Amino acid sequence: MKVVSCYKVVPDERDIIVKADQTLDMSKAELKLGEYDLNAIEEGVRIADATGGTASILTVGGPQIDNSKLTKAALSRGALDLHMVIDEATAEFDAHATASTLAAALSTIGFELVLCGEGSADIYAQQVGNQLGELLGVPCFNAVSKITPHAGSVLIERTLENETETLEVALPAVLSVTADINLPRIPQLKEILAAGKREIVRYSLADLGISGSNGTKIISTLAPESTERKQVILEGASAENIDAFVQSIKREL
Amino acid sequence: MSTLETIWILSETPERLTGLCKLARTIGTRVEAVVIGDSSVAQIAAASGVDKVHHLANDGSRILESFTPSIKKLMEEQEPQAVLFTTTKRTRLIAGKLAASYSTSVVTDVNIISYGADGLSGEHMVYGGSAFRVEQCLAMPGFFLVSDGACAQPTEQGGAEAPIISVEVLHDDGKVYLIDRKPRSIESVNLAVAKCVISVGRGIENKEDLGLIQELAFALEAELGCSRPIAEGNNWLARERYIGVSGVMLTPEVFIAVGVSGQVQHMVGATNSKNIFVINKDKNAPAFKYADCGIVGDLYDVVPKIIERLKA
Repeated sequence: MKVVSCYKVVPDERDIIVKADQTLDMSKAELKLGEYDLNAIEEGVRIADATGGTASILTVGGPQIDNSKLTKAALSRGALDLHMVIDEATAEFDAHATASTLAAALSTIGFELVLCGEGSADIYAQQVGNQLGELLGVPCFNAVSKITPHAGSVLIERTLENETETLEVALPAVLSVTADINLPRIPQLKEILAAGKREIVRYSLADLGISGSNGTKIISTLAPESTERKQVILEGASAENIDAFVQSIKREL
Repeated sequence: MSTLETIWILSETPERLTGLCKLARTIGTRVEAVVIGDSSVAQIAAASGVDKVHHLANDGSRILESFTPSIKKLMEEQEPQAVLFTTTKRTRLIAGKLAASYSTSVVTDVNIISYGADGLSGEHMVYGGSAFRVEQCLAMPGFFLVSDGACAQPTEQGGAEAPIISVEVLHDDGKVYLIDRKPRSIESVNLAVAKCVISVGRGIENKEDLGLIQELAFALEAELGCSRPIAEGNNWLARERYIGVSGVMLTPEVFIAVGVSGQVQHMVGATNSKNIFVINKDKNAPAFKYADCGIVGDLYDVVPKIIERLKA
C-alpha cells in the first residue's frame, strides 16, 4: 500500500513569550514536529511494512521547515522519502488553505492511504484531515484508533465519545489517527544518520499551480490576562509547613 | 446590534439543541435545527426553541457522517448564513467536510461567537492554551464548532413546537460499510463540576502509588484528575480524567497539582480554579508559577503527612 503521512512543524509553546500588550513573541520558539503527527508517521510506516508498500511523509510550511534537524527528525522514523511544500505564504494559512495545498501535493505524489494526526500541536482545530478527504473526493474519517489493511480497503476502528465503531472503508482514503493508536518510535542514531541520505522533494505553491486562499482571517491572538496568584511557596515538608498548607486548603473549601 | 437572518444548528445529541439555539439567537433572527435520526429525535428538536426543524430520517443503519452530502444539498437550496455545531468527533468531521465544500474553514472550539465590528467571528484557544484567537469568517456561510461551555443547557424549556420538515436523504456512496458498533463503557467522572480537584502528574512513579493520591482525594472529598501522560501514555487513569487543552477544563474552588510539572497545555485546564495548590519536589517546576500556595517537597513525603494532618 502506498501510504503518505502528513505532519506540521510547530513552535514549541514552552518558548512562547507573552509581551506586555498580551501579544505573543514566537521569535525565540524552537521548532518541532507536531507531537500528534508522530502517530501518523509511525502508523504509515507500520502499514507500509505490513503490506510491502511504501511510506512517504508530507509537510507544508515556510522556509524554516527546510532545516536538516527537522527533516532528519521526520525521516528517522522509517519513511522512504519526504515531500515538502515550502512557501512563505503558508505562515498565514488556515485549515482550508493548508488542506488545499496538501491535496494538490498528494495529487502529484499519488497515494492509496493518507494519514494525519489527531490535530496540530499548535492550533489543534482537528480540521485539516477532515477537509483533505473532502477536497480529494475520497472517504475520510477522524478518531481512528486502529487500522487493519486489506486489499483495496482498510478496516478501521473509531473511538468516539460514547461508542466505538468498526468500518470498512474503500481506498483511496484519508484517516486522522488518535494519539493512542501506537507508541511512536524513538529514532536511534543509526536511523538519524540514514535519514540524511533519504530523498527530499521540494515544491513551491507555484509548482503545484495553487495560491492557497483562506476562508477565515485572524483578527487577534492574545494571551489571557493572567490571574494574580498569592505565590506562597513553602520549602520542605516540616510539620509547620504541612499545617499551613492544609489550613489554607481547608479555608477555601 | 444587527443580526444575521438564518442560523442552522446541529448536534449529535438533540438534548443539547436548547443551549445551542440560545447561543444562535444572539447572532441570528431565525434559528433552524438540522436533525438526523428517528421521529423522536425530530420531536425533541422541535421543542428546543428553534423556528423550524429539517429532519433527515435515519433508522440507525447509517452513520451520521454519511448524511453530509444531503446536508450540503439542503444548504445550497436554503442558504443559511451560519451553521453552529455542538462539538463531538462526528460533528467535527461533518463540519470540516461542509466547510471544505464551501472553500472555507470551521472556527473550532469557540467560547464566544459574535456578529459585529469584526463581522461574523469566534474566539478559541491556540498554542496549547497560551493564547485566545479571534477568527473572522470571510464569507457566508460561517461554520462554528461550539465548545460545551459556550452552550450550557438552560433550565427553562425551549417553548412552542416548531414545524418539522422532512428532508430528502441522498443515497450512500457505497464506499463505507458499517461493520460493528459498540457502546463505550465510560468511567463516570464529573471533574467539571467538582469543588475540589486533585491532579496527578508524572511525579508519581508507579500505578500502584496512585492509591496514595486516591487516599488524599478521599480525605478532601475531591475528584481525581491527571495530566496527559498519565492518561494517554501510561493509561493509568481513564482519558476522561485528563485535564488540559484537549481534555477537561475546570472551575473548582480548589485545584491541587501533585507531581505535575506544569506545562501550559495542562495548567490551562486549571487556570480558572479559584485557588491553586502545588506539591512538587522541583522548586523550579513551572506549576509553582500558577500557585496560590505551594510546597517544595517530594510527594511521597508530603502527601502522607497531609493525609495524616487531615485525619487528625
